[in-house]
Parts: sequence; structure tokens; C-alpha cells
Amino acid sequence: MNSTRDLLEQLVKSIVDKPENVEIKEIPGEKVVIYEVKVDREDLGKIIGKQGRTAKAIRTILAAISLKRGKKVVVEIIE
Amino acid sequence: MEFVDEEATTVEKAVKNALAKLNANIGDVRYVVLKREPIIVRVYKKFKELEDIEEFLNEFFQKIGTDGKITIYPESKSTLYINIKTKGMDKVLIGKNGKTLEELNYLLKLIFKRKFGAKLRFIFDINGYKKKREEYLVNKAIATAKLAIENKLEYTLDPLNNYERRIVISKLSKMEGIRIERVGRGKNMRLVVVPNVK
Repeated sequence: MNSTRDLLEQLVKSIVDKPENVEIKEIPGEKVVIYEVKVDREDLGKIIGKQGRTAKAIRTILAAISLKRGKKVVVEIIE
Repeated sequence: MEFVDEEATTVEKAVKNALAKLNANIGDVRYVVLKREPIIVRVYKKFKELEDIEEFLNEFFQKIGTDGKITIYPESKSTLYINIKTKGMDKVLIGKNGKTLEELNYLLKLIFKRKFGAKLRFIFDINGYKKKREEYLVNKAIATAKLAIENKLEYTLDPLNNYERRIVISKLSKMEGIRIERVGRGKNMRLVVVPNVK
């Protein structure tokens, strides 16, 4: 079951201008799964949002859903 | 978005009357039953974004791992109300005091604005949570206003978010004998019901 990653991908690709440059790396751990989200340099501002608003919304939603599945997630946005 | 509300003894009759008013065929419209007693049906013409909206949300909820039944209808000429009826994930998606639902609204609005432009506005709901809370807040505000008039005292309402505040203000501004004042700024803003006593 890899739908958390798919969900993250759908969200991120819907927000950026260059969805073709989106890369998501999943680093699984025992209790915590880390997702490294790589977007085009020009899309960095879009994915973070004003005062981090967009990144916060993505993290909140993913955290809520994953917790129900018994996992903690960390979403890191990298260039 | 073009829509009409029709009251009739049956849903079928209401839809039929609405079709005449909209000058449309049954294939061109969708409808939602707003009220059961008496029967009030909102009938609206299909619009080009409808299928894209449903496709996106279906995919989204599939990935969340819950089957969501989507209901879409116009709330006003430019605002669409979208409710997703779902089991299992509803509490998680609403969150404490609707916090997660607010984040979900922010994200989906952002995405849909990119897809469809700023012409359309959206309200996303899960299991009618927002609608129910709206009703509760309005009823509570009206009760508070009555109390303010009766006791000739000012009452401060509980903190509201922007959306809720707008709704409460629009309802209370029609009431006689009171006025609404705002105190505080941003997240700390509160509404105060002030009686108009001489």
C-alpha cells in the first residue's frame, strides 16, 4: 500500500507549474516515514506558500491520514 | 451558475417545474433535495468544470483510502458547495474543531483556483460538518442577540474563523435592536453583540 505517496504526488503536482519535475522519495522507517519532495526551483515558492501556509496544509492533511494508518510522516521539501 | 429552488409535493414535480423555468431538459441539469418537509429542490444547469471537479476528487479520495460520495451544488451564483460523504476517514479529515477540514479547504481551493481560475469559489465539506456547525453558530448567535436585548448587556461570541464570522455577521445584521462590533485582530478577533439601548 503506497497511497500516501500517491496522494502527496497528486497534491504537489496540482500545485506546481512544472509537474514533470516533481520527484518524491520515500524513506521508510519503523514508525516514521519520511517523504522528500523535490520540485523545480521556480516552484519552490508555490509549494511552500506565503509564510509556509501551503506546506503546512499538506503536512497537516498527510499527518492526519497517516496517523489513522498507524504511521507518522515527515514531509521535507527540498530544491 | 444558473439554478432555481422549487417547492412541490414531490421531488419529480419540483424538478419538472424547475426545468420549465430554466428552459432546460432533464439531461442538462442536476438537482439536490435541500429540504424534505416541505420538499425543496435546487436544480442547476450542468457546467463544464463539473466533471473535472468530480474526477479530481474521486481520485483524491481513492488515494486517501475511502470511498467518498460527492455532492455538488451551487450555493450562490459563483460559489459551489461540495460535500463528501465518507465513512472511516471522516473524523480524521475534519480534525479537532474542524482544523484539518480548514487545511483541506485551503489546499483544494488553491488547486481548483489553478485549474479553473478565480471565477468559481468553493466550499468543501465532509459529512456536512460545516453546514451543521454553521447552523449551530447562527442559532447560538441569535440566542445571544436576544439575550443582549433582554438584559441590555453586551455579549462576546466565541472565536470564529473568517468564513464562520462572515455567516454570523450576515445573519445578525438583519436583526433589529442590536449591532455587531469587532474586537481584536486576526486570529484573536471576536464579535460582540451590543444592544441598541438609549
